[in-house]
Amino acid sequence: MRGLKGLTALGLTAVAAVGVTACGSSDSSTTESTAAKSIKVAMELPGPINDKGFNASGYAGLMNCKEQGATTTFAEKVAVPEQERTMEELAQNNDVVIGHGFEFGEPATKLAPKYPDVKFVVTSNPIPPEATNQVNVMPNSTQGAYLAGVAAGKATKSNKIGGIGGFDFPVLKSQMEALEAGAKSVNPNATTKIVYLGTFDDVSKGKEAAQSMAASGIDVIYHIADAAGIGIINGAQAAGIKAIGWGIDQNSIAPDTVIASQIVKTDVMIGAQCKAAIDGKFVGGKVVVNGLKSGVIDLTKVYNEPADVQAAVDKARTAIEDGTEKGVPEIAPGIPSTGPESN
Amino acid sequence: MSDLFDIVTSATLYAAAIRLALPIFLAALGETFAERAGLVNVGLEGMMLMGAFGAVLGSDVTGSALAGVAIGLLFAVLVAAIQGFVSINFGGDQIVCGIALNIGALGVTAFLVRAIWEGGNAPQVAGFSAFDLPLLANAPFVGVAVFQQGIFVYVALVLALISWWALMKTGWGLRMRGCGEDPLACESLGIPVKRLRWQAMLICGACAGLGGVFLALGQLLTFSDGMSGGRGFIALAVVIIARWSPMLAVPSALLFGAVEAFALRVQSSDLNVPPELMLALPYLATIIVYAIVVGRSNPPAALGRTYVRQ
Repeated sequence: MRGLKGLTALGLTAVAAVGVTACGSSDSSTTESTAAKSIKVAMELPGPINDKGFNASGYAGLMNCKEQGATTTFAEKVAVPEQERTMEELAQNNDVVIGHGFEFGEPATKLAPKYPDVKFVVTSNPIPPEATNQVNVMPNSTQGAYLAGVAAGKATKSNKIGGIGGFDFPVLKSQMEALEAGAKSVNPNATTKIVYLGTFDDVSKGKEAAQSMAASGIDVIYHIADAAGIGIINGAQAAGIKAIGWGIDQNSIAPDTVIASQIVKTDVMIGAQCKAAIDGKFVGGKVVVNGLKSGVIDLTKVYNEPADVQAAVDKARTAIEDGTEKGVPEIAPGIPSTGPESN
Repeated sequence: MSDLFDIVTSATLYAAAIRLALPIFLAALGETFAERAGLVNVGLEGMMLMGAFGAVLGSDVTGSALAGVAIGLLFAVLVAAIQGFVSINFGGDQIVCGIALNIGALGVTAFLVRAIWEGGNAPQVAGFSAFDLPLLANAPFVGVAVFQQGIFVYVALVLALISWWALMKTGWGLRMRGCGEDPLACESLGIPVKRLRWQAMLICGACAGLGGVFLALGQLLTFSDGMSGGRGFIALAVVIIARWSPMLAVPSALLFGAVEAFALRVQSSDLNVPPELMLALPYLATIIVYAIVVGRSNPPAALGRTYVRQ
């Protein structure tokens, strides 16, 4: 499969290059009269901006910056071997460079000292940066996954819950642990099974994974699989079981199937960094963690389920917010989910 | 171990194996024609992707799933035509062209999805849903495993039979295979090598395209970037494991599908197996079977070699 990886990487780079050039030119025309304050913001994303999940939320963050008057550019579907080179190209022509995803931490840490006038923002990365022109923003995602677990634990009838992730990245693993902890907190009999797909793109494999879970008696499936997650919801629908979405409210994909979605508003965190850069108040060298209290993380309202499911979610939300619930797993190894909200 | 037994004996495992094998089989079937005629077509992945995209576009615009199939096949055959011009008419390198088409299809479909549909997302379209075959669907075990699938499964089986007959039992098939063994000798006997190779390439495009159409209209009823997911590359291995036989391509593709379905089930069972191992299992199985079979298989003698009429 090495060869295949290489080939796809080549393909993705080609697409990424198209993304950079095409959007760079079309977007520059929209900034005629936004005074002298206009800054140039570029974003690099690991997947397609239309995945209705992680990458879509990053792109929404970039659009947030654009609404604030920034000129925006993006490169999507950037494969790992191309991430540093692409980031350097973006750094040469922009004021703010955003790497959307944990994996951009390494190239940003390398490039930040080399381009001291450029502000680097990396999302979903809890490692404190050394450079004063780099900020890592980290949604407190285990809080949301815990609430998803509460909903799943209450909604399951077979006491079997499934979690499907793209890859077993640390941030995904910790959310799966939070799912299990949340489910156990309201339903001690609930067991949770986790499957990793090895892809965020293969929609068909996602569907198959959901159907195989349904066959083993699981009746609520939570996913963190971006584009493949659409297949997972599709598979849950085909098997007549329930699903919990991730990223944005995914109820519209299958209204009778999706009972709730974990909201991850990375876009709000990205927009806040753009605002700081525009106002000249950007402070680097730190990790910003936002969770339930700031509304960056949440669970949508519960659809089509008895009122006690919603009540359990609301109770858990209050307990996490006021600090009485101590059972939420760490966001990443060494980063507690119970820490204060930062700005 | 009882868990393992439960997984292996459940009918849904075999139903999943068939669904997972189907697109790979269709692409492999097409590739069998191309390679038997002497053409290596690495562009299967791109043809599947264009087939899937065309199917969703066609179904969305016309509202008819059948029209979607037609347009999906047309798109895939157009990609095959590019490969045909380069490798048959202009004597270009077949592998290089195939790789270029794969990359191109990935970019072109991603671009068109963003250009055509609002928000950059393909809509849900009309497709083909699974149905129960009368009487047979209620049979124990095989009912669930085989006879509750969609129309594509039966079409694929019929195609396998027709292909085997056409390629192995007719004069046309013999001449086509001749083009893959010794095109010069064929030409000297008055066999139109160019025309036969063109036919093989277009059949290949249609079959691979049908694989993509199945993913789009038989499975997900929508299109998403890169949804062929590397199945076109697996199909290349399946052709070799099947020793360039349309009939043997059925069990070869099923083997891969079954291992993939098995791996997904083991992950969500009580067996404590590392997920990484399960993700690698289908590919490990392919390599192992390939290693066992490869010594005994004879590829067409002129496979991949450029032939220009003397």
